[in-house]
Amino acid sequence: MRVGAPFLSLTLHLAVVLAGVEFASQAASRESTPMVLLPVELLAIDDTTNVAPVAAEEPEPEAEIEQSEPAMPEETASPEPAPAEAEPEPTPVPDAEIETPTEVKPAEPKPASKPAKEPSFEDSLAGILQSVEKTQPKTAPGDRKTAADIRSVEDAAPRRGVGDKTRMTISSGDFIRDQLLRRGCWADMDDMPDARRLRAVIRVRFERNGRLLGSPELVEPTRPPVGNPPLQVFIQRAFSALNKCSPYTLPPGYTDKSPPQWIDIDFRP
Amino acid sequence: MKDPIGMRFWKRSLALLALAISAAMSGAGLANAQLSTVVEGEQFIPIPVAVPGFKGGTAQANQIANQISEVVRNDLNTNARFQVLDAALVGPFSRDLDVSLPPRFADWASINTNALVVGNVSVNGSNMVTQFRVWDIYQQKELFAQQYTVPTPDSWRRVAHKVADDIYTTMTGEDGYFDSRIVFVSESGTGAAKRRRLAIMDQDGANAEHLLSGVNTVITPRFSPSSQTIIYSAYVPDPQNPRATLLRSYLYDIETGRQEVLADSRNATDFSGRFSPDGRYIVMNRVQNGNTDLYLIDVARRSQPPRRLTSNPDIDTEPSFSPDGSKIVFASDRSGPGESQLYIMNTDGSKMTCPIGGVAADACRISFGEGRYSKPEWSPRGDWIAFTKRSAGVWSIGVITPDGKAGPNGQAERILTRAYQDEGPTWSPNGRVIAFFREPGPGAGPSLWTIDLSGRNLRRLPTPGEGYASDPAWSPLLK
Repeated sequence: MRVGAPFLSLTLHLAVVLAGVEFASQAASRESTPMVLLPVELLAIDDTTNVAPVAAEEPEPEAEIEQSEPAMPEETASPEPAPAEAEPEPTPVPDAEIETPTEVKPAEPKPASKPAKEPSFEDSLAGILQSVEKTQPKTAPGDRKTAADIRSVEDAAPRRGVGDKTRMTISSGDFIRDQLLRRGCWADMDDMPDARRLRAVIRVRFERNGRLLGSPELVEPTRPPVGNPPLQVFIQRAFSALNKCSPYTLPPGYTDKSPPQWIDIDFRP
Repeated sequence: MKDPIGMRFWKRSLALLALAISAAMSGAGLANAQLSTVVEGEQFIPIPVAVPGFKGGTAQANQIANQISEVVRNDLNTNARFQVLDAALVGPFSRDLDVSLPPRFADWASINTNALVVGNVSVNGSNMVTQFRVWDIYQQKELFAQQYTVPTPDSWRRVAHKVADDIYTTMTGEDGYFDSRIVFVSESGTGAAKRRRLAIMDQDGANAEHLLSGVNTVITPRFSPSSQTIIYSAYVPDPQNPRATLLRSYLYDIETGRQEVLADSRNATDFSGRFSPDGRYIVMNRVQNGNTDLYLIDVARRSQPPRRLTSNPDIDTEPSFSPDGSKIVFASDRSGPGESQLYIMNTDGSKMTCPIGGVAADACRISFGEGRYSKPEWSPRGDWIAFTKRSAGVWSIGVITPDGKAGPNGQAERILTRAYQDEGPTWSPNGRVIAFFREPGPGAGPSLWTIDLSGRNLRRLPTPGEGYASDPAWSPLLK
């Protein structure tokens, strides 16, 4: 739990006060009042955002594959048998031997994984009043990538309306994602073994100067991928990519909140 | 029906209390509302790696250290997934590097390298010790460290390949392939003077040498899993008729140079042999009574007649084991005269349910494209089968999924090269790179080439002499 006793005490007092107000109003009216539903506006996430474009470096172009296409032969030329004496001359090949390698020092262990994220205030409210259905889109593991397909999702609150900065925060993830891609910090790794199963969710937040605040935390996988070298490397490269792109250009309004918001970055090959 | 007021009060109060506790439990929920985004790589970018010259305490050690780091750079540079930074870029930051100390990360970050390899070589008597570390520049942490001790400095090249393999594994999570060899047929001369000799070299073209004199024409050499034995076929004089030749298969021991005939094949012709992954069996072609079928030889009992795996009037040829040894892929014209398609079968000859069509059969067709498919080789990783394809006069090297169904990219088959003549694919030990031979034009002569499984990074492999070479076969990783 991230909140200390003072906050808990404050909220409990608040509950008692609210209960008292409720009792007073009920006693006055002596009538039954229907439960009020909180208005919820479902947000459609656009391809474009209302934040300033990121000044990004262009990644280097891919090397061209040499292809030669001269005139084609009519038929295959298979090796011509050459009659000769059967007397091969063996030549032993010296084979250098290498002694058992000695490990100098193992790589550092990975940071311990973090528990699943805690429910937000709004989530709790929705659960208790049973008035809000979660409608946030989920990204299927097998989804393929195109710029249009990749979406950033705000996990938490239902949107409260235009002008309250929610519209900005919904695209904050995209803002960071674009920098990771356009500055070449995160590249296509589809050719890794069993790439479809590779995934790493890393939780980050940023200082006002755009640098990472504290150490990014691994959220998924929840356990260190012992015995899965490709996933270990994948996670390492995700952490490295986050550091490589630092400092980031932060979305407008990000630094207005204190403490800064966490962003879960879901890395896929 | 209305609830009594008291009951409603307690319900609402409990709800509010739960709400308050929940808010407290969620921490600074409002302040820390979670945002998330999905980041999928959109563009392939090789990993930038800096490999400054390794250091050596003496002049001799320094020379070897430079040679080792040069080979490491070359190995990584020949792979599509790495981009080794130029020496000019790396030089200014290299002087005070020490294998036992962390580097100045900010310096290396300024030249945009993801990883830095720092190494040291020392020679004590005849022993040579090579130490190196791989640093992640942006995480500012050590990723890997290793020390190799060899009994003679002459082994520096193998040490270099092992270092390169370690770096490859550290950065990709896959096994490397640099410490391996390629056996091939070295060609020289023309017409009657043309010679096709068995030859071997490191995967980077170094240490090339001929194993046989070239008296006989050699074809289709293949390694055993131990990399110490080569099976090949050669045209040899027919003892019954000095003016004729026979195609026979031999086992050649690289260590001793000793060789022997694979199997008694009177009245038959054996060729295209390949070892099973455990080295206990050899599957090969045998032509007998005018029919070409697949046969299995128990290596320990090869004086006994081989077991026939296929028996039909069509031509079944060029078999290759799956990595677990349970299946064999081969080319056959059983789908129609003049056609050649790829088929898989169980090694024990039992019927299998075909992945396409679902019927039970002795062998199942997996390729259905136009043209002729030939020379399949199953990837050591098991995920693809490489093949040669000729369609409309165009030669290609391609890969197909082992069951012929659409793979991760939505396609069953992927063509990697096109040329006047591309043939004979063979996999690197880690299943990432394919070597093959190419004749770029009429009379141009064949040479060896490699290409990444992704279709990137087509490169010519250097070979000795005139450089004409064909029939490559990649060894497993050396022990």
